Amino acid sequence: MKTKINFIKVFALVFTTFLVSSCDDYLDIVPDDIATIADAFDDENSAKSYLYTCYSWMPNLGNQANNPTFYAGDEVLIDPRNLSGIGNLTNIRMWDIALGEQNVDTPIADYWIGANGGKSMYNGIRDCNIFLENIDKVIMDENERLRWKSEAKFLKAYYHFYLFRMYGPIILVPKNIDIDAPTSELQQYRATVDTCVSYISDLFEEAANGLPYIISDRALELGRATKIAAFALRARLLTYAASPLYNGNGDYASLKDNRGTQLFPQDYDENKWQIAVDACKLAIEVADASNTSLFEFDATSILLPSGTAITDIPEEIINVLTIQQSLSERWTNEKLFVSTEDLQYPDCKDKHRQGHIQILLRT
Amino acid sequence: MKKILYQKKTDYLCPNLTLKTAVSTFFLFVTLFTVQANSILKRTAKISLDSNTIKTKEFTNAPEHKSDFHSIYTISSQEYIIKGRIVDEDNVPLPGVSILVKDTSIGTSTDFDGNYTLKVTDHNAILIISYIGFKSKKVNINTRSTVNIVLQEDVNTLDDVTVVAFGTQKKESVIAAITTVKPEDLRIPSSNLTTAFAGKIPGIISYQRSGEPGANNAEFFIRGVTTFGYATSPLILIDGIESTKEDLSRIEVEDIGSFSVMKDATAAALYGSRGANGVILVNTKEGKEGKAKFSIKYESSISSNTRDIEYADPITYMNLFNEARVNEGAPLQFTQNHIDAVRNGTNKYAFPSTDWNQLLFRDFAVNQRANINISGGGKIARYYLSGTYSHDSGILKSDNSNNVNSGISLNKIQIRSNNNIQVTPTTEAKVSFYVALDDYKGPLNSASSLFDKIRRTSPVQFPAFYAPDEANKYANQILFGNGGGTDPNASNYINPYAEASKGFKQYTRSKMSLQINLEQKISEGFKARFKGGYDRYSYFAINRAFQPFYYNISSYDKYANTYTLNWLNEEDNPEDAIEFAPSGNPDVNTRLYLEFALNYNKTINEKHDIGATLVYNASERLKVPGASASLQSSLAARNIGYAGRFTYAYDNRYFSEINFGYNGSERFSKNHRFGFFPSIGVGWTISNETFWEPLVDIVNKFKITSTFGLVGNDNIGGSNNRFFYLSEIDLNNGSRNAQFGEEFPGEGGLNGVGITRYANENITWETAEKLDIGLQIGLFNNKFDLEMHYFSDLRRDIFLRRSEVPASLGLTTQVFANSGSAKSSGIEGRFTFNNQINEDFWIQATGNFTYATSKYLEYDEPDYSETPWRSRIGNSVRQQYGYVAERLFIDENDVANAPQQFGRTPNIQYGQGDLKYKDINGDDQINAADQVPIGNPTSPELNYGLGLSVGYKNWDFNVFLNGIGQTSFWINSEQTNPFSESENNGGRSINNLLKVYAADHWSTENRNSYALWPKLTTQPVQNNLVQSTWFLRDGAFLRLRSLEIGYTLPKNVTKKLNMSKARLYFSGNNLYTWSKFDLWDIEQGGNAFNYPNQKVLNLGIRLNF
Repeated sequence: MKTKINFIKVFALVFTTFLVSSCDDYLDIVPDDIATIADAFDDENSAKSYLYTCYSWMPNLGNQANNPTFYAGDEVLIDPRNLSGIGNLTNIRMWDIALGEQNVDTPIADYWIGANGGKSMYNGIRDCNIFLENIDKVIMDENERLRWKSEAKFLKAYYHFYLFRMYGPIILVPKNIDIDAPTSELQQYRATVDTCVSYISDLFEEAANGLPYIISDRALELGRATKIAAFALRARLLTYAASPLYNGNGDYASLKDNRGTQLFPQDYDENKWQIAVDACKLAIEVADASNTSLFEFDATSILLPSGTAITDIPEEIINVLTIQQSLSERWTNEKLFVSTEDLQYPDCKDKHRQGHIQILLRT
Repeated sequence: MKKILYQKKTDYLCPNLTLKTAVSTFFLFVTLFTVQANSILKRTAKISLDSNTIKTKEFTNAPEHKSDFHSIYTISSQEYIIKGRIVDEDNVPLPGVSILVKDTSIGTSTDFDGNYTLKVTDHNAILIISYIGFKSKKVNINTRSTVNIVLQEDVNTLDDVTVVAFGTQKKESVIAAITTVKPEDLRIPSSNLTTAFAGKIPGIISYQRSGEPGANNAEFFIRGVTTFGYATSPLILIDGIESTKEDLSRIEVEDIGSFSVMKDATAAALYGSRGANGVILVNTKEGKEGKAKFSIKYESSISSNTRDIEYADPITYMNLFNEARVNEGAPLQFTQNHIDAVRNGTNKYAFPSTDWNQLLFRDFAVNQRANINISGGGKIARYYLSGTYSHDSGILKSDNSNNVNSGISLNKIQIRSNNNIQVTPTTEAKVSFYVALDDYKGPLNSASSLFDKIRRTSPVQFPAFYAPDEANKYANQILFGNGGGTDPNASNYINPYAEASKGFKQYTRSKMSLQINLEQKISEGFKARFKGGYDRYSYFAINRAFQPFYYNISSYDKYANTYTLNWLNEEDNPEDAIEFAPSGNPDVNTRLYLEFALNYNKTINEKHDIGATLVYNASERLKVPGASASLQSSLAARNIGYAGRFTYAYDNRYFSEINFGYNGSERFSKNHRFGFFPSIGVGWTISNETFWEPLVDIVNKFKITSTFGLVGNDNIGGSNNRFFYLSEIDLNNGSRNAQFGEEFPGEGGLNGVGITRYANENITWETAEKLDIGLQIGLFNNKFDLEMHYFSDLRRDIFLRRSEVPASLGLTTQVFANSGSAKSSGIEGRFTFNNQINEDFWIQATGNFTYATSKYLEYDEPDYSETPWRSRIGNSVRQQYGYVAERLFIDENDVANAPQQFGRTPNIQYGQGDLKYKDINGDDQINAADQVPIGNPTSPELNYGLGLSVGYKNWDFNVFLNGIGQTSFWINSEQTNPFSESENNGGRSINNLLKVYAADHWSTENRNSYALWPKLTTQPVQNNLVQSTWFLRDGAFLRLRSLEIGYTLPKNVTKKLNMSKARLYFSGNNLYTWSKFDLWDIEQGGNAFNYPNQKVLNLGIRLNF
């Protein structure tokens, strides 16, 4: 009898230990190689994919429906009865601006939250930050890594710049805020104009360090960031900062946050012009080193009627064509940075069908 | 690009686990078997020894009677045969009564007729007679040879045992808040059990929003709604295995053995992370020893809508449509000629006027239900076998002129078999099978959607179908009407008749469930139990439809009174041949459940009652991913839990209990995977104290209990959002594409990465701190029984979407956090009154109520210190917000003098006859800052029921009332907006007009600024459609839930027919409602355009053999 009881005790003990020690990993059900953000930085290919994701947040200016320069001014009118060539009227958001429907509740071309024809610039900044946080883990060529990091910084600076240009003092995001941070941390103050300007221009400069002078692989990479793009945009930014809109602008004297901080600098600072000049000079030097020059129309490309020589073409025609093609020709030496986002085929009849917008600087 | 190469090795039930469990269980039971087998052997050996042994034993026990001593010498070789019959107080024989000869192992039990035969050696031995439900008796044989015994029913012991988590407990010692419902109380003439809860169970708030067969589950909450996260419904366990609301709704009430609701922390703590919303535990019947009992039930009922929504007649519709046009300065829609022609009934096709309700729906539907069950058994095996069939037809008409029959027909079949096998005297096995099959045939889109389509359809735009004109007189197909309205030749307007007739849906639902229980008694009071269950559920639908042919009138010759038809949708290539139509995704899921428990109960010195339970369980659920399939939604869901309970009671007066649950779920990160949920309870039965004795006759029970503990809720997020600690990305996302290169399109493009979820390691359980204080009083030997509880539930770490995430965070998708907390508290009570006035007349009354309020304590919202009324903190979890509407504007001056409403946004124009709102913050503008909490919560806070039963001789009469209070709902102004045209994926439509709006609206002739509906317009006026107090209604009501009269055939009649009981009954449900609202069934709340709740008249018969 006693041995039987012992027998039971032993088995009960053994049994319970089995249970207690049984699979902790019974609950560990998620496969190890599920696609998470960390996976995007497993190898160079997916990391490159992430870099392209950062680029994908560039404003959709290649599509004239979203480009204010086409439809927001009253220079172009749309015939609502005949839309088949252009597309559904509701997609041409910029046309609503021309109709006078810009409003405070649901702004058209809202680049802050990304709505109504605008793209979310802050989404782009977040992706750039994620890229910068994780790119060091990837095993790749160091020069390539430096270039990619610089491109991400360039884009981060560019998105900040775009926001600054539209909204003045903005919320700066040098580092991503954690998604489970308490609400008080999520709410950030707008930085003053001066802080924005110095942050963005420093970021452009930092980015420029690792960017190439020219893009060598024209077939696959033309359109990506270069040194001159960074310096040129920086120069533009500093010129804005020096201009009366941002420099001692009394119209914005009442724009203060709830701490009483003056967001627009009220005192006119002459020195900002000097800073702008220096930035422009630097940009010019870099441009010279980057194989850029003013556009010259190439007369040899014209199909002449028989019996006409090139020298017969009047100078006025050449001038007109120079001006026209400096804008409409896709890749010229004059263009410092070209955005390839959302390219379209508008139903234009002229020879140069691919319309896209350039960030153009005539130096 | 990295791909997922292989599944983790242990993705199903960990092979180690299965093997270990199987091996261990096997060994354990082998051991126990051997032990038992040995002891049986010993005992048999003991018995087979000759009478010398018996003599010795008798010698050592001091003889009680002188004659016993005497009989020692005579007994050694003489046996006495004792016979007898055991009956109850009604002279009904009792089978299976246990008779033991005291101090021996001689025993037997009565047969089917209550007779027994026993061989004893002592003619004065004492027989111990025991039978469950009856008071045990000790009877001295007293040298008789026939000993007949009458047993008395023991009312107390009938309810001796209460079902608790993972076991049973003596009712007296239960201090947790558990409500046991008698299955008879849940009998209703419906094939859906959840509709029986309303008002019958203290602590449950329940209401029904729809009456559609197959989709008429009631909403129910235990002690109110405390969480505003994803899951608010309680944990439902059927025979100990987790089941869905769907499974609960289909249980046949005759199969229910016990129905318990666990409401507080102590009751639910063992369920750990699943129990925060309360637990409903249903156990099905098992067979009892005895002659086979056979029972048949058949019911046939007529059901009709409790209330129909009334629409305005076509003439009024047209006149008011014209008035709306005038209000907008637009041309009239209907000419006077047209209106006159409709009124005169000139040509019902050219001048259509249709009552869609009458065309599509019948007045009533006929449903049937039947159940047969048989149970019985002997010492070795007991069985319970039951089959149920029900047929529900809806109130949809099915057209005979149509090739397609799309009326509703829902057939449900269930078979349940519970078998208990006494493998050895100490080992019991129970094997259960259950199959439930549903077969539904009905209209292509749900029947409920037809009610909604009628709301959206004008009665005069086109007829349901045309009689053929000359050109179409040989046409086979139905010529459905369409077109008209603002686009005369459109063919995409909704024609409810075409929608109801153009096809049908068939779905099949099946559930199979298999369960094995093994219970092994290890020693006195100590037993081990093993349970394994496997469930499989599947659902799929098949839709078939044809493309309707739509026509309108192209010309009407009024002199000849003929018309020609114009075929509208020729280019859609309609075809009245039936085709297969997209049928939605099938749903299949399986569940595997294993449980192992140890139970120990012991009474020491008759004063100290100790009990202990330890449980280990593991479960896995796998389901077909469905429409939004992703890897993460396809993974199995797993849970592991350890639970335990320790009870100690002193002298049946002082009770205490400690419980815990320790659970893990696969959906949280490793650091937050397991949660520990303890609870503690104490109780004092004052009426068992010695000082209470003088009062016992009046107050026979007075008990105070209190419990406190933690319970969890792991059912957060949906199936696509299970693994919050992981991010989810799409590595090949086309919208994150970037292109580079000299040529366009070139080679230098690449898709980017899309993020669909950001990782949050800290997502974890919701935790509920529950407190319960209870009081139980019984008066006059339990003639009057009262139980009341005060409860509170503080819910922390509620999982919710972070609402105020600024755009500057740049998130592409919502984020969630455990950042909410809410508290609910309330009281509930129940009383029953029982009185047997005389032999023929008895009366019983019962009532209960539940009152539960809730409020937010923490919520992720912006800073509302400027507008504190907008803050959710301190308001009920289901509180709604909106504007305070004062009245309608009288004229344009009135509009000019009032604050600007909603800014100058172009689409919010308003004028005279529109709603005027109150400027709460006094800033002379009406905008989002003027929204205040309005109305009561949309979930009722008060639920009560009152029932009365009276019996006289063979008749019984029963009435039950149920009421709801403290709730509000809205008339949906956007849905009921007359004449507005809308287009969505259901089609295009011009709204109908409610009769009550036609009678009561603002117009320039009658500038009633308190009319129900503002100025009529054909374009919706957004100003009037925002959520406000204007369309708010009080949702409180009192409803006569059921009324029943029954007649039981007299006993002599039933005896002749070999039956033990036959009862005929007639009942009615949802017969009458008292409420302030009468546009539609108030219980449906804002869900008006839905299949209405049903009023049922029912005739039934129940026979027991």
